[in-house]
Amino acid sequence: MTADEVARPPSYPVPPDSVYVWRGFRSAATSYAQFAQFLGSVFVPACALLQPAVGLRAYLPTMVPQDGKPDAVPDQTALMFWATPGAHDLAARAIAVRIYQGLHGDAYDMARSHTPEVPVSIASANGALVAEQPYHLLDQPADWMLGSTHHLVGSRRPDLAPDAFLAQVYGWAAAFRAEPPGGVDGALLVCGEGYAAAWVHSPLAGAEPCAAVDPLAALTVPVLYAAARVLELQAGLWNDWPGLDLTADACLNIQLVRPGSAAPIPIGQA
Amino acid sequence: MSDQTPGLVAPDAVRVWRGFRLPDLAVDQFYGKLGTVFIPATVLMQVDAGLHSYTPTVPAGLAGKPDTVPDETAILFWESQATYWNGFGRLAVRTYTLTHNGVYVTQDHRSRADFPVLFTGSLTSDQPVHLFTAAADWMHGTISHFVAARPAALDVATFHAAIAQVLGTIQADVPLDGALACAGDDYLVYWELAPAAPGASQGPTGVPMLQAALTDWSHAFTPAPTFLPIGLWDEWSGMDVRAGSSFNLRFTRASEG
Repeated sequence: MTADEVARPPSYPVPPDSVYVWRGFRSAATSYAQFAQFLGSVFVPACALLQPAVGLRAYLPTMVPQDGKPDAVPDQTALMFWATPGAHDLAARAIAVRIYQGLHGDAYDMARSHTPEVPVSIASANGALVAEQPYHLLDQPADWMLGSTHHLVGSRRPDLAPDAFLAQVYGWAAAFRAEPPGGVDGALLVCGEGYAAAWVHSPLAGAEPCAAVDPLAALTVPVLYAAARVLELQAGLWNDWPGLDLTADACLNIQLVRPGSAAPIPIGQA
Repeated sequence: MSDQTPGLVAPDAVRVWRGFRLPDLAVDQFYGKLGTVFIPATVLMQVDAGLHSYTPTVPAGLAGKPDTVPDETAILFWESQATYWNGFGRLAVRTYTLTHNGVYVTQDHRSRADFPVLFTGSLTSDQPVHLFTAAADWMHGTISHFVAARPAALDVATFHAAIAQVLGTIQADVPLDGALACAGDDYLVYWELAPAAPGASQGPTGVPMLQAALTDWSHAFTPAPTFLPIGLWDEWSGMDVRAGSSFNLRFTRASEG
């Protein structure tokens, strides 16, 4: 093994539809402080530590700033990339993932948060986006844990009606797909009637924000436009550790410990 | 450093759990949650935080069980009370704890766990008691468990007094390695650890005395020694849990690993 291979973790590119695109709305019974505390002390680190052994390949959670954020904009977003499109469902055969999945209802308004999560190609859209359907704009595999990711969250510009908003964002996405900007190997997009969220990935660490996103931002009132900060967790499941302060770290790309073979271990082969 | 014999822990180093399932969770779903997530997770997520023994029982679905009697009971021994409290500094324990919310009624402390105090002749509702003071190993002993409803003819004070009288007799006359009890307003849960080895003839027991005093609904259980064949990331559909299931989970403790 060369010194370069020692310093650089192995890359695991996954298909563009091998991701769950989460938009979480806080439960009305939960204050934002409680929400951030729950996510930072339990939910986000549990996702990052319980699931990579059975197929989670990248995890990019973001807390959406609350100042001036309209209610229609999610309180939290996350991308969860899996080794294959089927790996997410297969992973539930392991109790670690069933434990994690049982946590969702505590802090979220699940009626609002339970929207489609798996993207389809923007090529399948016809003149306008379907609200709450995530789309991938590029088709090649990518490793979103490595490199750099920029994330935009914005509310629908008030002068645009929902139908016009969905149509104009579609126009932007189609143009992005037709002429992908250089240095970009992945892009995801989802719109509700009142918001847009987009992620653009470059395989290069420290890449600059992609200027091709600016026309999309112009269709919104941006709430967040940030580079995901690469973060290595400083503790494991059983270490004495209070968790993450997500009020300080809003947009993260959590570095996972990824085994080469990532699926539940059949009985008898442990 | 503890001066106890390895494998033995103090009689008050135990959380006594009485759980009531969520009303919109059908009993079959309840069994499923317990078997596929909750019971194995209790061990797998907490053994490295100092869990010392775990004995869950499922009265839910038994014929005639009043709703006022817990749907699941458990005793969870820890290396010490401090070990239990320190566990919340660990992500695994915090995560496990939050899984309760999808299974049990937690508001108003309906479902709850408490440490016991030494029994001195009377009972307070929802305050567990231990009858003996010697350290013991509940994972490798023979446990009997008894759950009963308050007889309709008894008010709460009379119910508690009747139980206390029997517990006093057990404490004075029955040579057990350990015994725990907790009375709510409407139920009694009781566990005892007998010195007899598994498979041996019946050892000393206080259960018949409690059965004689509590003549409405009751049920006696013998927790079965049960090994978990898997780890957190293995492919495994879970345990078979049904009405009356009762387990004494066997695992390698962190202090023994």
